[in-house]
Amino acid sequence: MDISRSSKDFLAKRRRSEGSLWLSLLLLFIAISIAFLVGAAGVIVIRQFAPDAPAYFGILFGILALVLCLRFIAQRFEWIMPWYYLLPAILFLLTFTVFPVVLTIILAFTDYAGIRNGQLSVSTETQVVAVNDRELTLANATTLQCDQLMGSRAGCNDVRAVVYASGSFETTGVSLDDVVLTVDPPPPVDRAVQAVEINLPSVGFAAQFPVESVDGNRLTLGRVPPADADIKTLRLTLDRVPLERKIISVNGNTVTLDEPLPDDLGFEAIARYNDFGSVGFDNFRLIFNEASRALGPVFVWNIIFAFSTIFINTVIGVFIALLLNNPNLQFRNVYRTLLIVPWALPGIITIQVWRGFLNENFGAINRLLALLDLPTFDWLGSQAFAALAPKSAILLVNLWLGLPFMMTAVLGALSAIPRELYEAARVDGATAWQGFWGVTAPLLRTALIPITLTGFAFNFNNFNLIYLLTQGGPACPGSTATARCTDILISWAYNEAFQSQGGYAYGLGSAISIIIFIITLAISLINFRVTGALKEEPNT
Amino acid sequence: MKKILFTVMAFATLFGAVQAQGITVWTHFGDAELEWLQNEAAAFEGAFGVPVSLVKVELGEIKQKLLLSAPEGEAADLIVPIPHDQIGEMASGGVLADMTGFATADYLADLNKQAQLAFTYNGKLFGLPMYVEGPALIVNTDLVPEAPATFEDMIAIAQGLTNDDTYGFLYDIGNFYFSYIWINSNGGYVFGRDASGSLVASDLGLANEGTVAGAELMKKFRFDYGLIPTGVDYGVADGLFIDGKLGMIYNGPWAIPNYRDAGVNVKVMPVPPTADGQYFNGFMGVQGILLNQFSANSVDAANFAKWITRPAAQVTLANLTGKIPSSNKAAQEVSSDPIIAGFAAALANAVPMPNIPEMGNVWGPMGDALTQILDNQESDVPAILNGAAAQVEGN
Amino acid sequence: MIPLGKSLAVLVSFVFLPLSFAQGDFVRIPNGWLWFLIIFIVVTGGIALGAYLYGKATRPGKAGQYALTAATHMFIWVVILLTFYPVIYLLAISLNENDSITSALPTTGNILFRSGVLPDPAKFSFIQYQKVLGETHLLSYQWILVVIFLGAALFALWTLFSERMGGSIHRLERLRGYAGWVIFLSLAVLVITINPSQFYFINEAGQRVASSTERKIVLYIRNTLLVSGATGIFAVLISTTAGYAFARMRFQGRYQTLLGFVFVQMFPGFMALVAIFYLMSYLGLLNTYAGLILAYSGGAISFAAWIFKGYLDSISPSLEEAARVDGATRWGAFWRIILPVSIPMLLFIFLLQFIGTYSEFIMANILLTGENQWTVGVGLRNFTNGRFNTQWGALAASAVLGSIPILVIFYSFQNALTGQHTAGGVKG
Repeated sequence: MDISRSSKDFLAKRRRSEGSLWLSLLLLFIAISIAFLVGAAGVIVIRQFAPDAPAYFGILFGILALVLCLRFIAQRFEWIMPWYYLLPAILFLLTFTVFPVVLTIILAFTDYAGIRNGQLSVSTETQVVAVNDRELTLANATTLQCDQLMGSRAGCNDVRAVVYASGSFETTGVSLDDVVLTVDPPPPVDRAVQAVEINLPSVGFAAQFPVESVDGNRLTLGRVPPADADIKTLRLTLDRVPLERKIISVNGNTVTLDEPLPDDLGFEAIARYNDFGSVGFDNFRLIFNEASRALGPVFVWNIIFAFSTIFINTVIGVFIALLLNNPNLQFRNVYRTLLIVPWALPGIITIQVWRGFLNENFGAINRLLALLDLPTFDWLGSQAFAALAPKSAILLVNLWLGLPFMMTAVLGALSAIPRELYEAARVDGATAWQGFWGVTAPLLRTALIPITLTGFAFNFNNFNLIYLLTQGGPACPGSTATARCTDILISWAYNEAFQSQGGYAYGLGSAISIIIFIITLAISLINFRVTGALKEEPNT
Repeated sequence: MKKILFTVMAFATLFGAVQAQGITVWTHFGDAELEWLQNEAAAFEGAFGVPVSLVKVELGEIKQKLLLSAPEGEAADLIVPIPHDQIGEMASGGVLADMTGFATADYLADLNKQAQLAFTYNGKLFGLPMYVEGPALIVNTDLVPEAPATFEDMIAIAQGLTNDDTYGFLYDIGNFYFSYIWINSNGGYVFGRDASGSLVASDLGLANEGTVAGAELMKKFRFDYGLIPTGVDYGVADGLFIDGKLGMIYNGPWAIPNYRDAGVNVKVMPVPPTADGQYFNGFMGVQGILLNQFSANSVDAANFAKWITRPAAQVTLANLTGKIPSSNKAAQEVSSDPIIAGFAAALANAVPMPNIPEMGNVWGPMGDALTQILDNQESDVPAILNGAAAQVEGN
Repeated sequence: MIPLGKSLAVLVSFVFLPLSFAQGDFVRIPNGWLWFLIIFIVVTGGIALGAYLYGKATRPGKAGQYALTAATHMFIWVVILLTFYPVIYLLAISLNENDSITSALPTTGNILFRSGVLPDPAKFSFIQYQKVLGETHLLSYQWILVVIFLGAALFALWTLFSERMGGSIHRLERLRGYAGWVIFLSLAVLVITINPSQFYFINEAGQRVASSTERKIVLYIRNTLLVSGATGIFAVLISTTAGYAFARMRFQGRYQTLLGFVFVQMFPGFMALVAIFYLMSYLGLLNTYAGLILAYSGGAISFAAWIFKGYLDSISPSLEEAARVDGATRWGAFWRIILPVSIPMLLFIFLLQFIGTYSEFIMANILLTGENQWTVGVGLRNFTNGRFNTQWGALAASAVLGSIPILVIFYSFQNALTGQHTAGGVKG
């Protein structure tokens, strides 16, 4: 292949008339919108025939429409072609990366959490004593648990609620013939019956039977009850005809709704929703107000961890690579192959093995240390010296995990150094030592910069290692339950959002993710600035 | 032919959603208990014609998974079983169905009152209790032939046994669930109750004098009595007891099958009172069955819930493990079993774990606080507990 | 000398462990570390000395180098031992009948076994593997596929071996290529045909009961291969055209789009989990492989496109140019010239994605709600029993089985992986 010609040559010749960026984007946007609409319409049409059809069928329609649109556009605006090469990737990124990220960023400004998840809170169902237009009198308003809501919704202001009728109806059975059950009194005519509870003495409890249809006082069951069914007393489960309203205010036991209720349905209970909403910058304010207990120490350890793990791995990796780079060393390829085994094993397995290994009482590490008459440590739980032992354990395990990559990368860089340079150095009378410092070290340093920077960025967010090895533990004096001694930013965010001790505070977790995002961006920008990875004609 | 069809079907469902028939159950059971559940599920299918598929989910993950996926229709119909302290958050989150309607008068009459209370949240029954469990003093009768009559006896016996070969008394001391016994018995508590007996989240007793006294007693176990050295966790204590090297352990009925298999002769009893009449009562947990509010098949799910809580099923389960059935009838039937009787005596006055949502925030900070308190003799107990209490309130 | 070492150890242990349970329960060799050090120095020194003397006798100028090389060998063997210790230990636990790591240590035998540094060989047994594999019921044609698969794998190994022995490299390579296809196809058919209903046991009443999660590692490996493989293919399919456009085309907005691709990837992916969950739920793709594959691919594309762009930047466009002069369209040039040239790079992207996906568990844990869809990562986190016990033996056996696919793939494509990785790493 002719490498003497640079790609610029080729590209310069191939440059053709270009449309503007905005026009391209507009055309693409139109095409995607049409595809989206067709997809949505496709789902609606399909659901006419098959109501349970999953929404992903729409994607198929959308793709078909997209292809047609794109063909049409390409015939008129040929310069749009480059965008067609990017389109699959862009579409994918928009759907499965950008959209979730944007949603997460929006959620960072809400108080979304496990018990404020936007669902109807069944447990708040409260008996309604009297209905008067928009005002309900409750048996006991504390059952609504208005104190669980935060911010502007505190005290159930402006919270959605459901008002409904009683869901059960007591009756007695008259006769049971196969699946037809006759009852007296009959269920209310305007209410659908979902199930009936029939006592089964042979089984030892009252079982539910689905009701298929109701005809006056005759119920048709979905399943034949056993012969000995005791139909003396029956309990019917009725559809509760829920009506959605908004609570305006709660005053003592009186609740005011936004709209009046029809008075013929017999409303007997009210339950509120677990509404969540915007809290502005409250999540960030919380994070920075508690910075001395969570953000501060976690950030410091995160930086220390990323720096020291990269430093240790680089020093040892370079050392072993230099040993293996010795052309006089026999079996060096065998050694290299053997030494990359930690890289070849799935981290999720090996980190858990290490967890067992570092167990204070049964772990092989302590047994080995004891055998050698050395002191043993509580590797995963010791709080002494700001949890020095767990932190060392993390660095140790990450050395084991990361050494193969570092070694391979350094070996690659070493093999790229031309032999002639050493020959030249030797001709000049340099010793091996001088050769190393004069030739190897400077060249290696340039090669190491991108490797270490990438490693730093990776380890900065090395969630799997922390989560699987120490789960952030042990506790530090004064730390919170979600940001413990060895937690890094991302595991702290995870604890807040997905762990019980954080109360599934997803909004708060998202806010931390944004902080992580900003820090990662900064690190990467430094990385790109140093390595020049993105340094290319930014004006094209 | 059938195999080909099989394969074609597998192919078709490879990338699409699999529509499950019957009901789905999430369980954290393993081994003997799982086998029991599998057998009950098979029997239920025989009786009702409804297949039950069991999915194992780690206990610690059930709450999060249910909160997230139940509204999307992706969670199991039933959770079998879950300790009652977790129900508050799930009930408040709107994913648990109110099961009050499924509890008939007959059923309630036969139900252990404590168990019913444990699963009652905000005045509604959010689960059908299966069994009552909680830690008790489990004694290796080969090492301790004469069970201690008083707390002082217990300490003396334990100290006598603590030597190079054996240990006298160990348990998972850093775990708030177990260690609550010393806190409670000294006047500490998690949440107070109002006049009507409901838990009040704002009344926190985790930093009061009683809790401090309890924590000081725990420090004594380690530093004064020299009984429980550092490094002892659940695995250590359990392993030593199985090996017959531990005289007494404070542990729950789930451990009994292993002890039995290992051939350890055990006696289960309450932690004995002190000579001047101070009694020790710890946490009691009730495990029960939860119904998903968004279950597409709640009728069958409720039937299965009742099926596995019927007295006959509870008796078989109790005989496997030593857990006390929540049905009075079943409990009566197994009361002659010395192990169940032992646990029943130990739990007679035990405190049910609080079941309000705020309880979810207690375990983490309190566990951390206990490890810090027990770290060294000079630890500042009130300060550490105040910090933990502030966290519980702040969360 | 000895009191100094001892007092140092006591001092350190005093600082860290005021009163340790553990101290009394371990087997100790008094001053073991000193003995170890002395023995190591003596052995290493002896070997180095031997090499030096040998060198002096044969090639006097190189004697120092000989000694140094011998010492290097010794050192590297120590490093290899340390690296392999966890691996060996895991294997040993999986081949041990104990299911708990807390069980008592043997009182007789070699000191390494008595101290628990290595598991007790007296308890060697295949029971853990029996446990995790025993409820896997392969159909007859699947057994045939397994046999074909193993046969082809052995054959491929044989070709490697005879290549070392000096066989005809060209012929052997071709044969190995065929074997590779047989391996790939039989595995693909196996992966597609194995399904959850093949994991069951028959209970006392004669009913067929679905296995519990600890007994389904084969299913999970199959699921993971399916998900990881599809994700890798997807990432390659979608990112190559994008990488090509970035490298070879000049158009307005190119640089900005490139930056967008790079930066959007820096959001901590799984923190968007709830949003992804709702997206998949809306699309009806929860608890499906397709949903997980799409979610993974979304996270992989920009990185893959970036790598591919870097690769294309490094190769000359002259071939394409020639093809274009001959009248090929741009797409034709891409399809017929660029793609064939880039196969090693595409393989690298695929493997990178495959390996990355194999270890993921957070997203899989949330998106896959049914245990029949679980991947290895999720399955391995469910070896707890009730509240407090972990089934270590069965976990180890499953972990070993779960590691094998990735280990084999890694070593089969070792050069493709490490070579490109190094190139990519150095380039940034």
